[in-house]
Amino acid sequence: MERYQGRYEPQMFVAVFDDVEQVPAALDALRQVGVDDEFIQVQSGVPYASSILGRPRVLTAVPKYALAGAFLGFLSGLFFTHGTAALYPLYVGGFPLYSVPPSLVLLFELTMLGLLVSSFIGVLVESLLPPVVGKRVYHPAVSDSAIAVFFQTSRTLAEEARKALQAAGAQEVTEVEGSFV
Amino acid sequence: MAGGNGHEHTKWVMVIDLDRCNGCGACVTACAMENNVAFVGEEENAYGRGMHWLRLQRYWEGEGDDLRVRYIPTMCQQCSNAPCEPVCPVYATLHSEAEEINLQVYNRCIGTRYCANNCPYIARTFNWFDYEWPEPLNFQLNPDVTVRRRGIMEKCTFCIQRIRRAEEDAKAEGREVYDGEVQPACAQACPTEAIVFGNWQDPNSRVRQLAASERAFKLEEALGTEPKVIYLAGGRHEF
Amino acid sequence: MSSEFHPRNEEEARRIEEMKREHLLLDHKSRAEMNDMVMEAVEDTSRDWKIAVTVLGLLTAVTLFGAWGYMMLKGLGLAGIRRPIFWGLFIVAFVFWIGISHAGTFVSAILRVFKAEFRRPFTRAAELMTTFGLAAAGLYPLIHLGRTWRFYWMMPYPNQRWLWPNWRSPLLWDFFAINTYLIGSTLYLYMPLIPDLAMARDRSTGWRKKVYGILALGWRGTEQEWKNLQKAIQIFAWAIIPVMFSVHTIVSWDFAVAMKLGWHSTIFGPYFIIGALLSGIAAVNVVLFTVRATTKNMRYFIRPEHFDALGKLLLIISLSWAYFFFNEFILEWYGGEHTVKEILKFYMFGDIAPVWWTMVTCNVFIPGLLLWNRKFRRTPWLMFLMGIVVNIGMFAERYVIVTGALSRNRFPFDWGWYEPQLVEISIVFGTFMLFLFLYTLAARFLPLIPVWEVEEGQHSHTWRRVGKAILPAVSDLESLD
Repeated sequence: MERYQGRYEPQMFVAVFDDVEQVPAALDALRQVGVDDEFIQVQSGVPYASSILGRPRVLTAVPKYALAGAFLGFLSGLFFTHGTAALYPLYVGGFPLYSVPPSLVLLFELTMLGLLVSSFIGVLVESLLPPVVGKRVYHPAVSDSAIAVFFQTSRTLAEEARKALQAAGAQEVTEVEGSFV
Repeated sequence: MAGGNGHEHTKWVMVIDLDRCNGCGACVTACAMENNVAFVGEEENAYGRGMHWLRLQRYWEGEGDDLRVRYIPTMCQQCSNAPCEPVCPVYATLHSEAEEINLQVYNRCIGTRYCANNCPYIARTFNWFDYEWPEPLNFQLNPDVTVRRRGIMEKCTFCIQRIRRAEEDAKAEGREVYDGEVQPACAQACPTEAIVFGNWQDPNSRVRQLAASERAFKLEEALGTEPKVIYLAGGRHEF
Repeated sequence: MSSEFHPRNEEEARRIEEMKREHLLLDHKSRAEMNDMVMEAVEDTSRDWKIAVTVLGLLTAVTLFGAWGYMMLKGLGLAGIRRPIFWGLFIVAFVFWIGISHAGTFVSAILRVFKAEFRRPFTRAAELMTTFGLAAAGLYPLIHLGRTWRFYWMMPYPNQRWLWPNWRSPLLWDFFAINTYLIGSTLYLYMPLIPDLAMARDRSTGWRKKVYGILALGWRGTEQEWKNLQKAIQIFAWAIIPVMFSVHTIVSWDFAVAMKLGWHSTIFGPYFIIGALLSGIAAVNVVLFTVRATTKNMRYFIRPEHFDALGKLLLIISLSWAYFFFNEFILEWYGGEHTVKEILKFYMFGDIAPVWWTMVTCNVFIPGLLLWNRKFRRTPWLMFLMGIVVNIGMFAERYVIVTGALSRNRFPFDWGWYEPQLVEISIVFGTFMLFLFLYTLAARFLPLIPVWEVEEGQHSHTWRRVGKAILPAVSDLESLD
């Protein structure tokens, strides 16, 4: 993407590290060079907390999906129990038409189903669905537990960044195509 | 409360006098004929696959010279708080609001057999196979009653086809149903008139009078199922 | 990890080597090496495996689906069920498979919530047990129906007759509970599997790469992806525990809400849950031993320490089962009504007594006497046998409860005896074949070990000195944000 006319043309680069202990210092160095946190993405084969890497805290919206799903599940439970009883009243066993104790079972199950399924949908929607156009960056060494630091910066800063990262212990620093998301 | 077909709410009740019952089995036979109950054969019957809607429980008491037998004709008790009804997952067994009978909807039954397990009177039977009536047995089938195929539960219906027939006749003639006009097959066949059937809502009905007897009891009354069959305890037998 | 621990002398080095042999999470290997081992196991589709899959598939087709189709054609009369024992071997096997399916959730959810580190290598193997156990269990509500072809009337869908299913029925609770549990535990199996599928995708070629690629949903391992996944897994771990409890409680209510004597007991809910955990943990032992014996490189991941931990759990749960069992027994024996005492007499001394005594022996006496011994617990093949024995006992328990209680009721004229027939035995056998068939297929398609979780665990484990002793120390990395 070209923001200004002239020399600012951000490119994507990746630095691959073998050991997570090297990464915080490398990220510090990157920030010193002038690359901000929002232009950096770290990929790893095991989860590392943001406090380990020295990165800004990551927020997740998955609990919101979970709650919404639980609520929808509860409503559908209400429909399948008392709703269907209202739609087609049938008396059985001397029970009242809207008997509460048996309905609690379905209310619970459908609420939990809503909670669980919507948590999964939250993960899908929030991070796994592919972008409509373009490619996402990835380095296969990540699944062998290398840590890949992707960063976007201009070509002029790239040289400084490369030096700093290699000093911090990067195995390779290369230019790649693609976007973060 | 008016029910279906526009007739008044009735409460059909059966009184069985155990003192008069001699265990002849005419009621069982008549019920099987009236309701197209299948014949399963001797071997299957011995293994407990008999389809009888009405059975004579037989208990021996005493020994030697003092040996006595007592019979308890048992069929679906048409409970007001029927335990079989709430457990059916597809609403195949319901309570009729008009006649206060427990209904079995053959077309809806998918054969989970939970109702049979939950019945404290073991009153329900299941079609294990597609049973046949080889010629000329098929000529005795009652056209008023469905023939059930395999996989379906069935049980005594208080001869609901006869109840409906009597109610329709009465409505056509613009009158109420007489007491004693409706006779289920078992009541009709019983030679000692041990089985009496009638409408509890009619204060002058014979069942109402018989039920007032000191000998009257219900099977497993403490369970709270509120059965509609009232038994009159027999003379020499304790119950 | 670069934060290495250096032994000061030969003695310390020797002790460290010993502890590395014992504990997987102290025996660090590089991720690349562990990935190699797991993928080697996945791609090992030897001739033996192909034969096993074919045989299991054929057996499933004939003994399960063949027998079932024949029974549907002729009628349920081919089975041994009769009046008054309207439920037989099918329902016994149904409850049995639901019980087996609780193992996976116990291992991957409850042990995760309690941060029991030893769970890490076998959560997936256990979760596969849950999924395939539920697949087997889910067939039985169809198999035992009189009119199986109308099973869909139990599903709520708008129809021309405006009819809905009866939500007051425990069988409908079963339908919803089992579906919720099946969907929930499949998703719970799937989510931690995604990073390993990504690893498989990166290492495969051809059709495997395509399939893994689709299943991995484009996983890359970014911070956002990990955060979302971990949060979802955490929600699942906490939420699926009540679901798991509710499923077996609801299955127990098929019996407990009935008016049937011998069934109508308030203790059935927790009693069945403990029974499910017992048969499930025992089955995990069986599965882990089989996996170790038939899959390459598994001896690195699954070690005697895991059998030891499972054995301790098994002992505790066996004693808990004995507590619940005796709880129910003593109150029926002491203050039960006449028919209930007849049922107990039938159980202990009647025709069904061999089954009842098998249950008590296999569930209580054998585990109770043998699992105290540490050497026994650490021997995989002995734990395999113990697992089979306990599951025989649990199958016997369900047999006694379902068919035994139905044989006796308030009217002695209507007592009966149940004789299981060939078609029932064939179908029950067939579901075991189905389980093995699905599991064997899965073992050569999915990476059986959650390598990223093992690596996470290895990162958390290090050594520390206290005086002259060297101890493994665990850092709670999960508590970091």
